[in-house]
Amino acid sequence: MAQLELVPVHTRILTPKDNIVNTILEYAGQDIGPEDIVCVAESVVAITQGHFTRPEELKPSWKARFLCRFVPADGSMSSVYGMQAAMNLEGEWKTMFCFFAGAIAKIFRKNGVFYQLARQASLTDDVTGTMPPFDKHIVYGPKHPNQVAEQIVQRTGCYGAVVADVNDLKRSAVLGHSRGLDPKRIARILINNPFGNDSQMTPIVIIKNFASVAREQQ
Amino acid sequence: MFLSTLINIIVAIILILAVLYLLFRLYAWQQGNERIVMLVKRHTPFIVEDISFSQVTLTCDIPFVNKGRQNGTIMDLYPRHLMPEEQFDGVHIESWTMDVSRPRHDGYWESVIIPPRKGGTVRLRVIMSVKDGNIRKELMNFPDMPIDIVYQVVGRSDWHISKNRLVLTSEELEQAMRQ
Repeated sequence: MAQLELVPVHTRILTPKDNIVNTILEYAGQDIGPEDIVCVAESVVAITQGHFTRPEELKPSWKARFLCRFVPADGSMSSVYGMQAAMNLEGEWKTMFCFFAGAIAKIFRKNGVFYQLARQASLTDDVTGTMPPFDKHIVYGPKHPNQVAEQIVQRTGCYGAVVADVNDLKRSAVLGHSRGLDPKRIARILINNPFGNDSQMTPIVIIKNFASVAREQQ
Repeated sequence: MFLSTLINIIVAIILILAVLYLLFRLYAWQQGNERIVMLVKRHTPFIVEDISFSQVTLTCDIPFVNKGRQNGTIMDLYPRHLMPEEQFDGVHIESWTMDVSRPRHDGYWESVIIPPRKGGTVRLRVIMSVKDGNIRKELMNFPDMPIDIVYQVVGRSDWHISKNRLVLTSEELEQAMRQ
């Protein structure tokens, strides 16, 4: 009887010079089988896509200065640059609208509306959110995560692939996945953060035997 | 009549916006900002960490604190020693810093969030070397050397660079070399 096994894959620090699919092949190519799912951390995908900026490159608008004052201190958008970066992705007026919609929803005790409406903004990591040398950068969410997942499947021959956002606070979300996968199920499998913390440098996790286990469960 | 009503409406809108702006400024003022300060006057005495015939490494610890009311992120921090060759050219000097709570040995400052009323310690290393000759002899005439601790901070407000200066005095150097 096959069993699920989570295999973290150690890599060097990846940069915009790297291609995430080539990196997966380089570090994990031999370990990936046709029954496996390849998971890759969203911030690393974004970094290889060059999807980040630095506070020094941003010019905060009055809207960013205004809104960041209302974000709790531990939020990525509590700094004026985190907020401006999110606004650059979502649009300044759209972010303002989402924020006020979120505030009104809070009055009716519905939390998280802002992050549901401003999806890209919720994926932005402020400075310190990523390991050196990207700790001085604001890292956005990955571009086209579904396409990335499809490319991984095509090049590695695995059963499926996902781009995931997982942390140690038991928060797990699949941002992009290849066709035929149930993202919620994969998110549950990754809930204990097999990617580890940044210093462990394991941005790729292989879920071994996923297809066989799924077949047996059916 | 129409013009007067229009003017009243415009004035009312301007007044409302002005009041809202003032309320926001008041809120932001009450909320405050980060204010990270290097307590250079409270630095520990320089001590010799390592010495050879031609090179000496001195260290001292500098406490810092966030005196503000908001989180502050130290994005970068580095020392700038100021010893022009016109004043003294007997030794080659290098300096670098490290966050004591997260030791590393590459001179890279890893960004760190400092909550209000919390702080930490920076370890400053000064490495002096001579090409030929005895470092002890060479340093006998070493003058006072200012060292700026330069740091970039970001928080609710715009990023900014601050400097706080400490001085490695000739007396302090002599004392450290004697130990």
